[in-house]
Amino acid sequence: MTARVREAGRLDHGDHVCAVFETPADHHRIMLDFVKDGLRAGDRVAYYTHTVDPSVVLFRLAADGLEAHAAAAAGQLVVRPAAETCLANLPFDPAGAVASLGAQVEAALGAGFAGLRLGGDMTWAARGVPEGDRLLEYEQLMTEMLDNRPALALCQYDGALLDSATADAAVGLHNRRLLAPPPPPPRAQVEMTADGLVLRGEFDLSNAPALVAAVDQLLADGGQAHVFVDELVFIDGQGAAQLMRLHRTPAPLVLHGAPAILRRILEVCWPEAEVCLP
Amino acid sequence: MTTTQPHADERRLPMWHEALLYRSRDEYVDGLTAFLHEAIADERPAFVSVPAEHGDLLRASLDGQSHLVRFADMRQVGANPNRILPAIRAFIDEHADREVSFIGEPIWAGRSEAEVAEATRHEALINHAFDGTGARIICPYDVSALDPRTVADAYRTHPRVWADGAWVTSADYTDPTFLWCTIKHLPPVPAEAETFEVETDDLPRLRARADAHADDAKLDLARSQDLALVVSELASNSLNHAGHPGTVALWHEDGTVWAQVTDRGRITDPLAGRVQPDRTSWGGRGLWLVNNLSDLVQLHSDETGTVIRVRISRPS
Repeated sequence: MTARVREAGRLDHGDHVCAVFETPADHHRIMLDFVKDGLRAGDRVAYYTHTVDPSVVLFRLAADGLEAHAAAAAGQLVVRPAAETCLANLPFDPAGAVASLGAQVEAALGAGFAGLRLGGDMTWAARGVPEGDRLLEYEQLMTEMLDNRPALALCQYDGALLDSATADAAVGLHNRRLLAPPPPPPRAQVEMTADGLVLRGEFDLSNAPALVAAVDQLLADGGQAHVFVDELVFIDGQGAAQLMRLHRTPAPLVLHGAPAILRRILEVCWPEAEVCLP
Repeated sequence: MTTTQPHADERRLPMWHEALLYRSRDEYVDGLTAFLHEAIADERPAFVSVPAEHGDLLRASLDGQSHLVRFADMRQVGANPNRILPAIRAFIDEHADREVSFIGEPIWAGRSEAEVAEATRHEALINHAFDGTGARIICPYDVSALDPRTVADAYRTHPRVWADGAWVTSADYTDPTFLWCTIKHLPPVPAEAETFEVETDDLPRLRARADAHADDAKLDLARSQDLALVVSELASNSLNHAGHPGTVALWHEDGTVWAQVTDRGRITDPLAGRVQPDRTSWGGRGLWLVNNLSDLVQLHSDETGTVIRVRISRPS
């Protein structure tokens, strides 16, 4: 990594920013912040995806609190496959790709936006694109294109796919580097206390094993099961089925503070079970 | 008993499933009252689920014996037609030592085409679900008000039909699992729908988007929560059973949210989601919840994959 790469604060027009991500979740959080800042600044944001469908990007941005669909309808947010830009003409043609991105800057200004923020998932660079090894040439041309224009660009690289020499060289051709924001707190917490099992947050297929393990442990401990669910936000039918493993004769399950969602599942799936709901 | 009344003959069948195509109130009341009197005389438990105003007519015609018959408003029981089968099953189970009689009128004039298609699918599945139970089931159809195509379908879903004053064996009767697979009423998803694939880690985001559509449609909190649970179950089913992310579409209008999940898996059990899950079993709970929490569920599955479309509305 070269010394002239700065860790990013706020991005400015002219910046050519790089971010090396380790996980898809990191990739998404970097993109989310990038898009959010761009929309707030009144720029057009054009993001080019590679491994994820544009519809999924829009869905995730919207679910994470951005007015993504409204911004897309207004032309402020454009999410397209990389196949339509850098990879539109193969073999990879760095000068042609950068020229077409440069034309997009003018188009954004013409449409009344303050500038253009280009974002892209560069995973394709590591995936056998013909002439893909001309990546460094492309990055150099991008830096020149962005200089003195109301535009900036973010290149997201998958750290797991790039060899370290290419990664260092690519990072070195950017003037700033973004790090992934810290991960949000886990959506669900499972805590075993002296009084019983405490469940907080949302339980679904994505975190089922933690719930199964906790239920297994309570079953192994024996006795009447007490589960504290007053901070439970969501549980699905399979999660409720796990809890119902704790409902035994002669010791019915005790659910403290059961929220409406859990009561609804019990009423539909176990109408006759006499679970204690203090 | 005159020759115009049904069930003058005493054929014993593994079960009876008959359509009463009526043209007048008298034909409705005479035919169904005779059916109920016979059940009462034979001490067969009887259950009537028809639109409430029709239930009132039958009650009034039972000469003080209506307390021997259980009534339930079909507009409630069968609002989502997929919930009728379990209601009949519960009545059969409750009277395990007797053969039961059931009157079901799941199709009435004014039901939407989508609801009529699902009610027709339900009618077909009655033949599959209750074969061998000895249940006697009769389903009135108002031929003066219903679309002729709906009446034609009654001939496909009932082995025997009362029409124009006589019982006939239906020549059009069709294998119920074939009908289950082939009845399809799924207009295209509207262009304004939000469509995306849902990976396991996206399930909370899917619920967030469902909440947003519920807000825009002005659903109340209880229905919003039902919607979030239903879409989560459907997307989880794709991940669990099809083994890949399902494609979700969400759209809404005032008071109603629609959700559809498509995947390349295949559901082969026609009764999936229509049988109360065993309390100790692990599977089968997803579609049971979906059927019980949705106002309409349209499930279509064949060798190309599965489409499940649900409607959740603000209570009227």
